[in-house]
Parts: sequence; C-alpha cells; structure tokens
Amino acid sequence: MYVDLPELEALRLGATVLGSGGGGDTYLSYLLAREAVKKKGPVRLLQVHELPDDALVIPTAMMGSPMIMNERVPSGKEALSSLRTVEKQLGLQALATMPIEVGGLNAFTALTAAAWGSLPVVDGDGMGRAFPELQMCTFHVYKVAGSPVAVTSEQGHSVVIESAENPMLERLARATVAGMGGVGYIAAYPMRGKQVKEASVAGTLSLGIRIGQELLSAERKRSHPAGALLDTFAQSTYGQGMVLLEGRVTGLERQRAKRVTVEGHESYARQTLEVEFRYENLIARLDGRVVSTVPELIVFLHYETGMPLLTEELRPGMRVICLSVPTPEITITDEALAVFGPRAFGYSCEFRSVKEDCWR
Amino acid sequence: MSGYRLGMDVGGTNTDAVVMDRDMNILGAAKYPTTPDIATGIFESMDRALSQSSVDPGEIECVMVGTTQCLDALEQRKRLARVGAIRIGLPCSVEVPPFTDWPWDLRAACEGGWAVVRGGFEYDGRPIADLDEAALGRALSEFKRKDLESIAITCVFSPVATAHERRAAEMVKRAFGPDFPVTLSHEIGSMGLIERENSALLNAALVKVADLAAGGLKRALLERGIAASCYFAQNDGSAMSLSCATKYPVLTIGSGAANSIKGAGFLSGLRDCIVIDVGGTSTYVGVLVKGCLRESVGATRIAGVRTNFRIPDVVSLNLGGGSVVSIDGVRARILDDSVGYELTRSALAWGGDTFTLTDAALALGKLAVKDPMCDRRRLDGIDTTLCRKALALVQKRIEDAIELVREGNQHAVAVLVGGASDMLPEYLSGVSEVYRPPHREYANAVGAAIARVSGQVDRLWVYGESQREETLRIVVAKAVEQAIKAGAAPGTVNVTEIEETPLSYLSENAVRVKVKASGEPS
Repeated sequence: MYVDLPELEALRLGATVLGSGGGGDTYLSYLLAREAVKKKGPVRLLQVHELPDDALVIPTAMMGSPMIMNERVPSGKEALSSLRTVEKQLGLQALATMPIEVGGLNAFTALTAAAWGSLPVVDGDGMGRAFPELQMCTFHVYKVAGSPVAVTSEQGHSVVIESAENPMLERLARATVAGMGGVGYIAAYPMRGKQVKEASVAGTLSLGIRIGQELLSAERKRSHPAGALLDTFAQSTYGQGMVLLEGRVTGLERQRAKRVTVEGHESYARQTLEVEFRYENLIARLDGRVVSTVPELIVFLHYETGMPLLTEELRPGMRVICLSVPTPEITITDEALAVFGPRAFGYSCEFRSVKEDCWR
Repeated sequence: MSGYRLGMDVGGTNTDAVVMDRDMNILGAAKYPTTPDIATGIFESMDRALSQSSVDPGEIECVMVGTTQCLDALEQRKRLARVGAIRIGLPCSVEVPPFTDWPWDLRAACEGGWAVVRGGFEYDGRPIADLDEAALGRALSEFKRKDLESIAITCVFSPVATAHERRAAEMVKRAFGPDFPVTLSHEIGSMGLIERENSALLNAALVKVADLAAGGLKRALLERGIAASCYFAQNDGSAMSLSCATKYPVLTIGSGAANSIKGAGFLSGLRDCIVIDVGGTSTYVGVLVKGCLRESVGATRIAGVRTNFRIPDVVSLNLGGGSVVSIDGVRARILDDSVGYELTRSALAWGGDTFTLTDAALALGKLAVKDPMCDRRRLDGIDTTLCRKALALVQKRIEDAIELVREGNQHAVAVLVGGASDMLPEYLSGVSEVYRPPHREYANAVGAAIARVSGQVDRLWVYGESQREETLRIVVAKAVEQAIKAGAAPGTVNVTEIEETPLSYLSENAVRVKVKASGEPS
C-alpha cells in the first residue's frame, strides 16, 4: 500500500480522532507531507509483519508545542535529518522510519521524513494515540532503548542525547526542545524488525486513513459520523467502542483542573458527561461514574459537521458527540498501564474500559 | 446632540438605508439597487430614507455601513489588487511558501510574487535572527519590476513582537512611496503563521475594493452635507472607523451575515432565535444565542483560503430573490446564478427575459413589490404549478440549513428578514414558529446602525500564576485603547470577552490571552 495525496487528506481526520483531543492541529503537518509527496512521490507503507527481523527502523516525531510549530514553519526535512544523525551514531542504515505517535500531527512527521528520504514507513506506531511524553509509548514499555535520540530544529541546530534510561531521555530531550524555542524534531528508539513486531501498535497509520475516509464519506452522505467511526474501529485491533453522550458543552474549565462538562439531549437527556483532560482527553465520567480512562480514546466530534475536535477547539454551547473506543491489547497490559494508565497522569482511579459498558 | 444615526447595507443586489434616532426608533428606511460605482446606490437609498424621516442630513451624527463588497470581490475574484508577499523568518519553511493551498484562480487573480528573508522572533519575544535588511532590499527591488498594487508582511511570532514587521513596512514605504498599501499581519490575524499570512494577503488583495466602497460613501456623504463620523461593520457585528476599515478590509468580510443576524434580533426583540435572511443573491441562516452571534470554531476558509479569524457561524446558500429558475419540461430547478442588481432589468416582471424566484413569488401573490416598473401582469402566462415547485425547493433548502444550525432539540423561533424572505411559507420544519418583524427588509442596515465600536487584543504572554492578574490588567487596558482608537467614545467602553488558552505541550506557562472591548460610537 502507498500513501498518496488522497490518503494524506483522509489521514488528517483519522489522526485527529486517534489524538483523543490532543496531538496538535494537523493542517501544517499535512501541508508539509503533501509538498513532500508531491515532489518525491507516494510513500510505501510497510506492514509490521513484512519487516525482516534484522531490519533497522528509526522512528521519528515532532516534540514540543504545536502552536509554536505553526509559527516557526519547518521544512519537513528536520526529522529526516535527525534520523540520519542517529544512523551516523549507530554506523548503520535504516530500512524505514515509523511514527512514534500516530495521534495528531505526528502521524505526518514520519511520513514527511520518509518521503524526503525516499524511505518506506512502517504501518504502526508506539502509542496508538497521542501522549505528552517520549517514554509514554509501547517501545519503552516493551524494553526498547530510546537512545540515541537526535533532536533537530528548523534553524538547523542539532543535538544527540544518550542515556540508558528512557525517562531521562525525555527530560533531556524536553530541555533541548525548550532551548530550541519550544519545538524540535526527533528520531529515537532505533530498533530491529523483531522489536517492532513485539513493541509497536501495528496497523495504526492505515487505520487512521480508513477512519478519515469513513468520516469524509459520512460527511458526503450526511450520515451519522459516529456509526461509521465505531464500525471502523470494531473491525480493527481496537475493538467495539460506543457513543457516551450526545449533547451540549455546558462547562469548560481550562485553568487548574481541566475539565469539560456535557449535558445530554434527545435520547441522552438528563445525563451528564464529565471529561478530564490535560492535553488529551483522559478520564470520562458519566453521571459521576468512570466509564473510560486513558489509554482508551475519548473523542469529541462536532455535532453539526461530524469532524473530530481538539480539546482547545471546545467551546461552551457547542454541540458534540462524545465517544470512547478501546485500544489494542498491547496498550492495556499491566506494564503498559504502569507507564500510561490513569495513575501515570496523577489520577487515583484504576484503568476502566468502555468495553465493560458495551456488553451491558 | 441630536443622536440621529444612519445605517446602511451595501449588498450584492440592494443598497439599504435606515435613519434611527437616539432611542433606536426607525424613522425612515429605503432600498435602491446597488450600483457598480457604489456611490449612486448609496445616494439614492440615503436620500429616500432621509426624506422619509424628515431628519436634516446635517443632524446625522454617525453613519454605520455594512457591506459584502469585499466578500463578493474575493468570491468572484474581481477587482483584486496584485499582492506581493514578504515573509520574515528564514530558514522557516520555504517548502510551504506564501499562497500555498490557495484556489488556483484566486491565486492567479492576485498573486504578484513573494520573498522570504531572515528574521523573526521566539515565542517569548527574543529575536531568532536580526531582520536581513539587505535581502529585503533586494526583494523589494525585484518587486519593483512587478506590477504590485499592495504588499503584505508576515513575520514569525509578530503577535508577540512587532518590530521586524514594522521595520519592513518602513522599507516598503521608502521603496514604493508613503501611500503604498502595506498590510502587517500582526494587525489582523493571530497565532499560526500560514493562517495569519493568508489573512494578511487577502487583506492586501482587498485594498482597491475597500477604497472604492469607502470613496463612494465619502463622496455621497460629502455631497449631502453629512459631516458625521463614519464606521464600517466588521465580522463580529461590531464597528470600526472608516480609516480602520480601509486599512483592514478583510475584517469586514463576515459583516453582511453578522448585521442581518443582529438586525433580526433587534427587530424581533428576541435574544435566542434562528435568523433566515433571504436577500437578492444569497441567503444566510444563522443563530442568535443569548443576544450574541455564534462564531465559527477553529480555522475558517474564506473564498477557499484558510484563515484564523472568527466569522459568524452561518450557513450561506446561493439562493435569493434574483436566483435564476430553470424550467425543464414540468420540472423547475434553481440555479446558483443570480441576476443580482440587474433584477429590475432582467426579471420577467420588469419586462426582462430571465425567470427568477422573485417572478415565481410575484406570480403566486407571495411578494408585493412597490416599484412602479414592476408589473405583475407580465407574469400572467406563467405556469403557477412550476412557481410552486420552485418555492418548494427554496423551502427544502432552507429547512436543511435550519437543521444544520439549530441548537439542541427544542425548536426556536425563526425570524425571517431580507427583501425576498416573504416568499417563504408560514410554516417551516425545525422551528416552533415563523416570525416576520416589521422593517424586516432592512434588517442588515438596522444591524449596522445599532453596532458598537470594538477593539481587541490577541497576544501570547508568558506568565506565572502570580503575574496573571497584572497581565490581564495590561491586556484589558490595551483592548480598551484599541476600541477607542477604532472610534469608540472613551467613557462608554467596557470589556465584552476575555479568553485565556494555555499553550499545550510546553513546559513554560505561556498563555494566549484574547480580550475584546466595545463602546458607543464617539
């Protein structure tokens, strides 16, 4: 399978859904990927199982503030340059790159790097969604060393970080990005094909493309977007999710506790949904009861347009559909939840899957 | 102080005028087809409204104008200026150069060239690099050889630090003359380089249209001895001074829809309603929530270009009194084309040869037109079944639009305004009731007349919790200052909106603060 211009357009929406409210606006990254694909041709998508066990894969991502990236428009070649730096450190050549984070704008970072470097991209990532920190990924959970990490800025500055501890890599890379003005482009977690098979969430790029295609076709047909979206997830490794509520945003707190309150209407009348978020939506409570938590996807769709919404796009009075989708097995093992379950975000509640409500 | 004000709406089809007193009573109202020179339409409708009101032109204290001229120019790619784009921030991407992702025909109509030079700032205001004046000078001499009519300057993080944009503007003025139109992105858009640059480029493309509209208005007022202060309505329904409007025409782009919604709210006395404005060329369906316009969310495309300022959240349809009806056997179809201001020449009832929706409504007795040139007898041979079919199509499209905009499941009142709204039926699905307020055909001009004058500040600040109050105080003061600069009377200004959005995925506490303030026209 190849990723060409129509697939990129669909992925804009799919990646936003997978971002679970976070991961940044995809427009600029999409433009950068589009320009790269226009100049260099479609990018080949490699299935995880197609990878030779000894193939070297170097994942790539943007790190920092999407809003700053939107001002300091990069060329799109920065992540490739980080990848080349890691190759140099290792003295080896990468067969492919892959996203660290498929949710939000980072779905495009690896694709853009792949296009410029004439490399294929692996259909998978290390989160299956969006997370705020570098070690919050299945690569780290399943013991892939993050080091060496290369960080490149759009100004051409570049730093290599080495550490045996992945959380320390996050700290140092974060500081480096701050020094670069709030945004940097990284290559990290270089690994072999065998490790990719054990430690990545497979099929997520093509899933993002399919979700986007479904949303676009629902928009064309004016059909309910949530149905198409849930069906697509149900046929993937994510599984059957459900609509938590349709209603109107009645409360929005962005300062200390970040929380959005939605009052249901029509068949959801008299129900209240509260979603806590940091950058992504993390905990969903329906009438006070926790129904879904991170790492599950908690997604708001704009009621009128059916388009997925970032947390920063929510406004009081807005009509929304909120849905929750379970995530693949590999993301909800005990080891995984210890790294990016509710407790890792400072909540005292246990992981709760929406699947438990689906079967009721 | 007489307190009389004149509200005007220069639409694609008609120019409307209303005269109101201090207590917002409507004393006179009139309509005249919009003319290509703008001024004649303004004269004619203004004179009629004034004579009806028996208010002396000299007693008018302020004139508020709404216009879709700028939006129409962009949509039709007409009368646009040839624009040069300067982006400051190299090595920031040249992979996504100015004018990327624009519709090709709009690009062809106004792209005059672009240059990217070094410079720009970090998010905290430190310079990334000094402005490369030598490179800018070379780019400008290159621009000199092109037939540019306007230049837009966009610098990385100019909403935080404006110095490089202002310095570049000085250099442009030195090279092209002090009156050459220059648009600075920080004066128009907010965060997001591509979207802000697009807004600035659209603005730069509109300077000729804005000059024409402002010139027509000034001439008309001068000739009638009206020495009032003059305002243009902007996207959020508030107003800005004429001099601001000629500098920032892109900010008037959503004013047509904003004015009709606000005007409908005023005429009906309702604070929550669905507004349906059926004009000559287009129809807006929008919502008034607690007396406020509902605004668009996220990035908005204007004439196909992605920008980041907010405009009223309305559904617009290519549907109006001038829409052309095509007959195919026993079927009627409504075309996207409208005869626009040529209605009184082209429509059947005026002796023309184009079957319009106005003709269909006239034939069925749904519309009354006072124009003596309009003769219903010319429609005697028309098949009324086809007319009914055409109006049923209109109803269907409007009901679909209501479905898109309405809030929640409780049915609101629909307020019908606009010159051609009478062709809509007594009952529409999706609403509880259809209300036709008096003076409804002048809702746009009324919406313009009642506008407050506003200013706004949208900036990025890096502050800790302890400095929050202090920062907000500074931003509020700046917004008030902006409102006064835009023409508000100092004593009447108050803050209407404060919005704080912390920046995501950033360790430092950077917050985007947006404050709006508005007051009575001075």
